[in-house]
Amino acid sequence: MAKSFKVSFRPDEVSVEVPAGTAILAAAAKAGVFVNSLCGGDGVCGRCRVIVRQGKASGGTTEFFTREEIQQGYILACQGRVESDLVVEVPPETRLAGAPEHVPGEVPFLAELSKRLDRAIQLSPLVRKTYIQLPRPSLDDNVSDLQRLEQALGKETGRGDFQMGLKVTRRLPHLLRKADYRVTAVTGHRGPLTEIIDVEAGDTSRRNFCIAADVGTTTVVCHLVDLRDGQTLGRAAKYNSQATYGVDVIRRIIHASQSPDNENALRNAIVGDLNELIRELTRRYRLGAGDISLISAAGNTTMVHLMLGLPAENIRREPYTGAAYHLPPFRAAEVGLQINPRGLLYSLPCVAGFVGADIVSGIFATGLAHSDEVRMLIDIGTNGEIVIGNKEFLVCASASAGPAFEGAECRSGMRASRGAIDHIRLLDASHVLNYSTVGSTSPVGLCGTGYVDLVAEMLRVGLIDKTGRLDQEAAPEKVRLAQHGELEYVVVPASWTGNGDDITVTQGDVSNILRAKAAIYAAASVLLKALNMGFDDVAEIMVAGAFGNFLNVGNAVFIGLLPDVPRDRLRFVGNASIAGAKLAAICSRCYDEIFDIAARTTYFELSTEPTFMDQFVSACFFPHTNVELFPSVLTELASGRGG
Amino acid sequence: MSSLPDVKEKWTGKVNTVVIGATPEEGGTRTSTVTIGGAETLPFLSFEGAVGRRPAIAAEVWDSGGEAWPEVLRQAYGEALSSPGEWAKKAVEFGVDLICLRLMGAHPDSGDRSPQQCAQTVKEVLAAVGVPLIIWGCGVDEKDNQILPAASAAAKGENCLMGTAREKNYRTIVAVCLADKHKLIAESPLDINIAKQVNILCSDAGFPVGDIVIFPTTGALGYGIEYVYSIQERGRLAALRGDKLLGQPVICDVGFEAWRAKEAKAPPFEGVTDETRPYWGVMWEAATALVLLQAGAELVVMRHPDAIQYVRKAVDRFMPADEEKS
Repeated sequence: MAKSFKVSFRPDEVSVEVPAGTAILAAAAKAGVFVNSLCGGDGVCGRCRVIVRQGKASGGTTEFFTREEIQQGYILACQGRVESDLVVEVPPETRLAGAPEHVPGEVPFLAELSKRLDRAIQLSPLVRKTYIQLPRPSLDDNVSDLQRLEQALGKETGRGDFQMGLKVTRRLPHLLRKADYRVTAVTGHRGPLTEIIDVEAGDTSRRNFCIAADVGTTTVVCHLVDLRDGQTLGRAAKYNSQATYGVDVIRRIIHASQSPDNENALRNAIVGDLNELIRELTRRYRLGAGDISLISAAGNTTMVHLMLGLPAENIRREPYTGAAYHLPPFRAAEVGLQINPRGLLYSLPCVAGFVGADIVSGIFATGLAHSDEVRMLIDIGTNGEIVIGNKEFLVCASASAGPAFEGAECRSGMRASRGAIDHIRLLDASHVLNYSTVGSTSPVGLCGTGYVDLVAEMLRVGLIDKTGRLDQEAAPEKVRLAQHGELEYVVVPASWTGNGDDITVTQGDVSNILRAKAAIYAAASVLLKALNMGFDDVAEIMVAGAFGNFLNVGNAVFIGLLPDVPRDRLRFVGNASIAGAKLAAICSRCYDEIFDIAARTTYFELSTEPTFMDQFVSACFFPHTNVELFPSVLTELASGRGG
Repeated sequence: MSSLPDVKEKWTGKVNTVVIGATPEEGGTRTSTVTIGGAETLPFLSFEGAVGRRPAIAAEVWDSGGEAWPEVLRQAYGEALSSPGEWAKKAVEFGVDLICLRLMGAHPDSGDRSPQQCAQTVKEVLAAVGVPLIIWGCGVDEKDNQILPAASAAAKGENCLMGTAREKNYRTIVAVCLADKHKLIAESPLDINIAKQVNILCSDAGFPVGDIVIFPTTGALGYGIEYVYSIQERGRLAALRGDKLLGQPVICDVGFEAWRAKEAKAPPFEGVTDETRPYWGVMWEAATALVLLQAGAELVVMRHPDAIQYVRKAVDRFMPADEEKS
């Protein structure tokens, strides 16, 4: 037996017993302590900085640290191995940077959607509770207990074709008699069938709630919805704990496919996040777990796989096939979700390995699938997904944009949590005019919208040229040579920041943003070309994703992330995914329609499309190599500012 | 007999004309100038529209290191290879329109000549010949940024064609060409997008796009010429369709590339005799030039006098004197 040691983490004050030689990052994951890591333990991102306060660890001292830091005991948690009992401090920069500051709310689609659907969204939840008083059996009416229940339920709900599991059927005779034939039937929508999930004594129909969930790679959002009236009671969000295993889906898939333990760890992380949010919401509204009988979840394909414990490794390998895209409802408890033990998990359908239920859900909620005119939906995240269509056709594509817009893999990048610069304006190459931060605190980094603003402004004042190359001569006192011989621009000097570090943008960061915006624009262009259309043929471009409503649309067009169309044709739709998940939960017809949408959406594979690379290179320029596609940008540049 | 359908293409764009060289009246000392460009249709298709100016041929001259050229070339130029002025004179006797002075000796690995030495060579060549001059750097960014300002100043007023501006290094050369009033070669690595991007960058830096000549990177026969051809052709088609940022004349570095091919230097084939060996390089160079002229090149930089003669004759046949548009 290998020797094992105790590792204690500060300031969480939790300990865990691990075998000698275990990586500290793995020990932290086991202890449930969050340690920031972008690369998921490959030793390349340098984010999992921890300090060994007591005991001995081997390895992990790398070029990421200064001499002083090494003397203080800094090591990389993924590279350092446990060699004795340890006390490890997780410094602030390595801890999870707060909680998401903006919890995505409702999007007011309903009126518009009803108009397109040509009907009101009728309240017909996927899981219903119906209180019924059954006639007592007599010699004249001695049908079975189940038949009695079904007949009464059929009369009350207008449905037939009921189905009941063995477990509930076994309990039924005793329950009916004990409750004096006054019971509440809990029924779940299963296509043409209705499952009698449970039968409860007395009238419990007032307590019927559901969770609508958007299971994102970066953020997990839950809404608590009262199924009696379809109103959202509360919302909660947290960062996806799987981040410890890698910032993007590819790294997480690789990690999961390495061993069953890893796969379980990822599943436990996401299921744990959902349970935490469910607990928070039920506590806030004084509900019991048993009052939640339904979860409607929309996630990208990888998140759906990891949540359900489906093998995800084939998603990342050509030809990018997932295990299953259209899934029936499952018992939520079977997945580990802590709601009513008989409650159901409705996982919304995916289209392809990189076009998931979050997109399908958004297609429905935004009314795209029922529009007369051709519309486009762009979801900006680590993957940029594009959907074009109307009520007659739907096509979609996905392009890997990299995590730059999520604030990752940039020198001062962070999520949109407290202290993130979300908007910025420059006076000239040497001076910042003003900026705002999330939570209005001292700045500690830049989030996606901050980067979009910053790059646009740097372009305007001549700090970068249209290839994104930093010009040191434009501001010699602010542009300096950083590590690895790379130029960087000091946005906010250390003396003004909240963490005592300079906030900078490096040459590499600008290139990351350039490639990210190019991937999204190119994907949209190629998909349009495949349809023999242009941006002018699209009545409306709806932007969903990480930026929410916080993106400065002028700057997004200025850098060429969004096309230069009249501004009234660009609309932010926020988190359309959770809106769709909620609509599915409260309206079973909507749920069925979402499945129809998934089935009729054609996936267009960009990786084998020969023109994609050409379009991508063409878009790798601010705003675009074909500058004539951006007339408003040309006009603005010609009118001049700064210099 | 039924009449044939009209297959003429109608284009909305055209290729700019660029004048290289300045006579005494224009502030220089050249005895002639060269105008390239002006096409309003694809090369040599005079039945469709104006084919523009006759493609020009420049002879490549090195500031130093010519002695190491393949033997066939050494025989053609003889002793002159060790003196850029003499070399240029000899090339003009072979009947070229311009001299392309390549400052190879400034390359840190092959001589590392100083900016002053480069300026001296420029003056020497200008004094030796009357034709316009192309001045081409050594290809190393940092070094080019030192030698090209000196070379440019030495040729101030001569309206030379200077190169090259690249995506990652264009500011210095743009500034000196603006200051000393030279034309500019914008280089891109066989990529139509980057070709346009470099033009935009130079234009953003204040350089008039009408004074730019595109160098789309050249490849020799047998070394990717199909790809080179298609990139050049795509660029030209874009120009003719109205893309003004690709509507510049194109220069091809034919001699440099063709004489790198082993088939040109030492043909590795059976049946090559001492008698036929010299023709391989000549034909390799001529064939490369002719192919690229068909793809729309306006200016070819060449080496061997016989290859130059072949190309000259072929162009005359493709483009009789009365078809040239002035």
